[in-house]
Amino acid sequence: METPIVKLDIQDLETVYEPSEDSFLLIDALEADFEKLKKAKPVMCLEIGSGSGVVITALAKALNRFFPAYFMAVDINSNACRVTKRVGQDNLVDINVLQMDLINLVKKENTFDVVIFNPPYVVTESLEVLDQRLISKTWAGGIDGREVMDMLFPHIPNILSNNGLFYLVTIKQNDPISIINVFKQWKMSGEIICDRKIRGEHLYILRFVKITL
Amino acid sequence: MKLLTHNMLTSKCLKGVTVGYPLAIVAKDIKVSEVDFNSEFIARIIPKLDWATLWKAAESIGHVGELPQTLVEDFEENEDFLKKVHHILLEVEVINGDLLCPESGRKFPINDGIPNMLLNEDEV
Ligand SMILES: C[S@@+](CC[C@H](N)C(=O)[O-])C[C@H]1O[C@@H](n2cnc3c(N)ncnc32)[C@H](O)[C@@H]1O
Repeated sequence: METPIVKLDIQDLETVYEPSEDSFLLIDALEADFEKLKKAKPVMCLEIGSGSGVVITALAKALNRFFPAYFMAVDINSNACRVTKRVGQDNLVDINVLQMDLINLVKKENTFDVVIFNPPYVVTESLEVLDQRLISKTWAGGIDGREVMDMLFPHIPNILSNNGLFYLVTIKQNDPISIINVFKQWKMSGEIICDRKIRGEHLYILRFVKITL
Repeated sequence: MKLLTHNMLTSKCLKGVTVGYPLAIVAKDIKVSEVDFNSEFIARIIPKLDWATLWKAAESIGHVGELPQTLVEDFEENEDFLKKVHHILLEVEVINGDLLCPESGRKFPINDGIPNMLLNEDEV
């Protein structure tokens, strides 16, 4: 997968998450999973918390070489929304952006074929999750780093189409195995498809699908 | 904001709102651009749509053209129809305006094509 061109100026960087090891590991995981993605022939793709837009843009570029699809992105940060749209344009792909808290106002009718989330996963105090500063929203995950992602999880079975794929970035402290267990109650199976140790962090990319009988 | 995005949005999560769908659109600026047509892609999007919502939205922003009010049968084979759907879904975009909750009237401003759908804590 081609790495998109991402230009962030000093002002963007004050609030927008700069593409980092976790972003690139997620892109690498999508690339390693590309045959599966191609076979699923997704029509609707959604990234939650798109930040700079680097991940959804990489996915859009790669898929568009084979077929068109509709790409949506949400972020809580208006600057991230603007940058996501711009980075899409700079890379000749169209990303449809919404400023939203998670997927609060997205209808839950099993519409999305691919959903991606690189959440704020760093272990912090609960209070930090509520911090209004936009840059802390990029990383502050509260207890076990799970507070933001845990709010999204119950909605995943309802937005994902029957053969949909959900990709999630986690670190060891989030306890990826317990996340996989959480999804079992919704008849979804998850697996670790990629992991990487970087300074001070052990990153895991999880992929979830619906269990079809 | 394209009408395909609009089709996916609901204000149901607002306190006191029961359906919240579809959101009304007040369009101040609309941009129409050309996008490559792919019939299979459009045919695969259609089952994911609420047709009545798409039609109403198209009409409300003055771009309904010859789009039929009810979904045609066997649309997969109907290139002419798929082209109309392609146009309204992907080529027409609301750049500035508002989305409105149909029950509470809560406004969600659209600026530079990006709807702001953040809520205050006391709204959910
Ligand atoms: C770790 S960054 C990932 C950014 C980008 N996807 C990447 O991989 O480089 C997390 C992103 O989630 C956004 N975010 C945090 N909380 C959110 C929420 N409640 N709703 C929507 N987006 C949120 C942040 O603004 C930030 O852009």
